[in-house]
Amino acid sequence: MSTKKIVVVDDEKINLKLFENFLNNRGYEVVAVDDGSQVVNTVTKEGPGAVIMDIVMPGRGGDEIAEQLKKSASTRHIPIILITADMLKPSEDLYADYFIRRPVMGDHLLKILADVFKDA
Amino acid sequence: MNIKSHRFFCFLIPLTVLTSGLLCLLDTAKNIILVTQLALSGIVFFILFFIFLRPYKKTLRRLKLHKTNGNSVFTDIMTCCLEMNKYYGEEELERRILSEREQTQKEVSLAQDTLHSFRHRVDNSLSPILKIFYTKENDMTVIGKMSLIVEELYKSIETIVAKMKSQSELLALTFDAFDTTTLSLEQVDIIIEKAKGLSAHLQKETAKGRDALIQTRESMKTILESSEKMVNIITTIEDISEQTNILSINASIESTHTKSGGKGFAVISKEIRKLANNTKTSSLEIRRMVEDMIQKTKKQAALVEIVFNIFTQINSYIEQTNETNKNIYNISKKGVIQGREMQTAINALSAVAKVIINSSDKELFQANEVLQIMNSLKKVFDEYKTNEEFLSFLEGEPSIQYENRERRA
Repeated sequence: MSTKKIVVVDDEKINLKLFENFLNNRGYEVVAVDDGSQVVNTVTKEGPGAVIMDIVMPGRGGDEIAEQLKKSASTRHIPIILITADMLKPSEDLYADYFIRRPVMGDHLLKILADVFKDA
Repeated sequence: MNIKSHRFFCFLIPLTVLTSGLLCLLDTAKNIILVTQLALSGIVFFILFFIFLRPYKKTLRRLKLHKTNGNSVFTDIMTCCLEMNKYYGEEELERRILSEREQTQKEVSLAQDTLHSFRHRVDNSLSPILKIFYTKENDMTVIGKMSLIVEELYKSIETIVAKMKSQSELLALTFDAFDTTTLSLEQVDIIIEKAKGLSAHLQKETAKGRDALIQTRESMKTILESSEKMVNIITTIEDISEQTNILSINASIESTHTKSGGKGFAVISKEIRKLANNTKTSSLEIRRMVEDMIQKTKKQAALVEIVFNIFTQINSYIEQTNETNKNIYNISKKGVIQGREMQTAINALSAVAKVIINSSDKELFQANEVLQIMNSLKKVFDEYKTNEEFLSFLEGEPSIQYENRERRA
């Protein structure tokens, strides 16, 4: 893994902006996506080091997209971090390397990213 | 075997037996065999009733209990079960009810775990706010208040960050402006430095011209003095030639007294008189020339004096310009120094602003995250606020109505 590029997926633009500011200021390059249908294309094109995705989104949810990414040979190696504010969503049986319940604590997220990018 | 077939066996068979018994009684009254048959029929009826009808009644009673509790979820389940009953038998219905119940128990258990976990996390992350606002009596108000507080916090942080960003941009602009001003001052400084060099050169050249004029004036003075002396000498020559002329005239007169002996002397005296006249003519010519030269020299001396005065004035002007340049140079030097000082200060401010912005983005991110979960929690509360079981669960009671009913059953 030679890049610190992260694809962040959330239907809320303000969430995307805050993720972008937070991660950019800490040395990560962020590609923001607010449309679930564009995620697979973007991830394939950009080849990021990680994908951060909200589960609850209109249309296709983050869990569905994660499943598709993990089943594809070209993207299955990319670590996926799923985030949800849904209180009843189970953390089991999800196609994700990491699962975070909101509120996402900045330090916790950075620790996970440090772990993901430890070889970068 | 479904419930309808139960009903058939439970009611139709005993009814047939009883009817046949009664008919027999009418025909052959007090026939002991028939009485026995009747008694047996009654027993069979009760046995059949207990075997086939009791489970059905039990199920109905249980479903009725669910219904009377008024929980919409269980009402739905019951309706569903009754619908299912049309297609499935007692055993299948019972199995499905048990399965649904287990599934619901699992979900409720999961919800409990999740909410306990969430409450724990919220307690940890927002304990100061929670301590102030948390009351078990009114969870909805608490969550509403917290949500508002977080929203306010979020808005204020957002405003602060926006202001900081604009200030930072403003600082950057000011910095650029000062940079330009300082650069201009530096350019002025360079120009003044050049002007100073030119002025010094001009002053030097002017001084040289002035010195040359002074020397010219001195030379002219000497020439005038020499001319004056020459006029005196010419006067003396003129006197001499006059006296020589007179002397030659006297010599000529004296030669006439000596007859032949004085003839040669008369020739000499004539030549001397001629020489004296020539000398006089030449000296007059020289005088005229010298006097003319004196006049011209005097005029030139006057011109030199005027030029000298002009040079003196130019020199004075150059000195004044130098002084002004010096002042401008000092002012611009101060400006450059002050500009640099301000630049340094603005650089420092800009760096501080950047640090503040970078550190506040984490706060903003965190506030937004809390807002997200608050909204989610609020949504859950809105959804379940009428559900007494859910509220009693939030109050921390270990059991809920559903479990109580199970124990009763």
